[in-house]
Amino acid sequence: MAPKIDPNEVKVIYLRATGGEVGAAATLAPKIGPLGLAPKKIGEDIAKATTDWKGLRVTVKLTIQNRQAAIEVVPTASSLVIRALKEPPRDRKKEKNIKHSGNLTMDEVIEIARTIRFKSYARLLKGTVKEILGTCNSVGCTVDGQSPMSLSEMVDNGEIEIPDE
Amino acid sequence: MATKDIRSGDLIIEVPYQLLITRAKAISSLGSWAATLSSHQAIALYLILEKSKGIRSPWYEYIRVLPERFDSITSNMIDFLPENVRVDLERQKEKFERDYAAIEQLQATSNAYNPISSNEFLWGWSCVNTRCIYFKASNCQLSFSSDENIAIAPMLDFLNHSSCAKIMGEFNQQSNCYQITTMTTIKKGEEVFINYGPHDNFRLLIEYGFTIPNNPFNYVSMDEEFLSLSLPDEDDTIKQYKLNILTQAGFMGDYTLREKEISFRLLTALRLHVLHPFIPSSTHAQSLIARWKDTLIGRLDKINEENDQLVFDYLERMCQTTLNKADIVMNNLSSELSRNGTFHIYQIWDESVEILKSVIDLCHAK
Repeated sequence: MAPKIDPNEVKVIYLRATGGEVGAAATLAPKIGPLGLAPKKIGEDIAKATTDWKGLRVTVKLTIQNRQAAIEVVPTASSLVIRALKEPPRDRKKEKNIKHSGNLTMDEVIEIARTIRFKSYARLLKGTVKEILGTCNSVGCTVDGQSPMSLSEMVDNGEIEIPDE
Repeated sequence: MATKDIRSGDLIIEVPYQLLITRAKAISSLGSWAATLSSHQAIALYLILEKSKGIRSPWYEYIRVLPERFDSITSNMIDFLPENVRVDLERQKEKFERDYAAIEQLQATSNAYNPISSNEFLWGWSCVNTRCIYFKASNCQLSFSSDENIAIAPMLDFLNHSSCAKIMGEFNQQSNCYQITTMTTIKKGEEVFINYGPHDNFRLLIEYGFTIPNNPFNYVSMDEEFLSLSLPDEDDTIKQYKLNILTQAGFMGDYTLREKEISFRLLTALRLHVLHPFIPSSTHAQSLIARWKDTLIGRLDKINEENDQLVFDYLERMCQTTLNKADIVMNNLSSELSRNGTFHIYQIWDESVEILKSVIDLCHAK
């Protein structure tokens, strides 16, 4: 029995990985081993697919169809914000509890909001921009030299104009 | 054929709910006596009874354009199939027999319709099998398997399959339509394909009766070869012992090869299988098993050099045996090439040979 376009034929696994690094295969194995995929090979493929995100924690989507895996990076607000800060890559093993104290421009924030728009539930781009500002706040960076929270309020009361799309 | 350029994200086709043929609709039209039927049985029976109504059926125009008969793989062709396909085909035959028995029994008890011959039922059954789409029955109280979530969407089933097509198909609650959206652009004049699913040619042949060239999901199953593989002067109890370990680890069966690719499952299983000499009670054997378990979770690449060499030696031998088998079958087949259906069987062997050759090259390189 083979109904056409059966969504159950496709398995999707999400995992967090450090971009550009071959993570310990042992962390992948319990998730993908039973599906018949080689943990080591998938680990290398993930490293290859995430070279643009060197040293950053990113969410990776594994789509497994008929024993074959396709890898893609899912943009997440925090990864995009941290990437936009353009910090020098660091060794995660040596530095712990990294603080991000950079600065972004409002234009960059709007650009990130556009990237993430498809998975945001906000009605207008304005709402998504505020989501990103919230992420900036939690990451610890400033936007246009100000605290993201105060910018968020300014977006709310119309002091900063956000385009609709 | 596309009459104009179609952009990615555009809707290709939508079929309103009123035109879908689902189990619930089939049963409500047949009568409550049909409530015991499965989706597949009910929709097949419904189509057959509608067909017999001729022009008085609301589905007349649709049924008229359905194929008159389906070229299923005839029994004398079965011997030419690879073992794994033969098993799947047997399973499908059993399902058909079960479904037909249910229809016959219902006829005998309810007398609601005239007896249906096996051939007539095969028509309806094949229509459903080759044309149904996945459709989640929304208000289904019974806990059915996913096989029950099917429906026939007239018109939509005329679209052909291509493994390159990227589409999204789902029921849109708002518009009450089943919709298919393309995720790729289609140029004016090109055929509009949809994707039935990530199917290899074995599956396509059994379920839909066709194969496609350059199918990226093709593979060769090595299960039979693997299980019949025995090491020189190895006891059957030891072989069984190893197979038990494989089963416990969840690595039993589904051993496949693809173009220039040996599946992780097959490699892993072979690593354990070729350990020799192997005395289960010895500490040496136990430490080898521990190392083998480390390869499962990726902590180790191989058990040891010697084992790795053996794995590829045996794998090459297995491929060679399968190649020889393929040669014999293809020779026999070529004399029957004119017969219906043999073309596709020849093609799947041809593709298998390509895969086996690429893997043999791979083994040489190691």
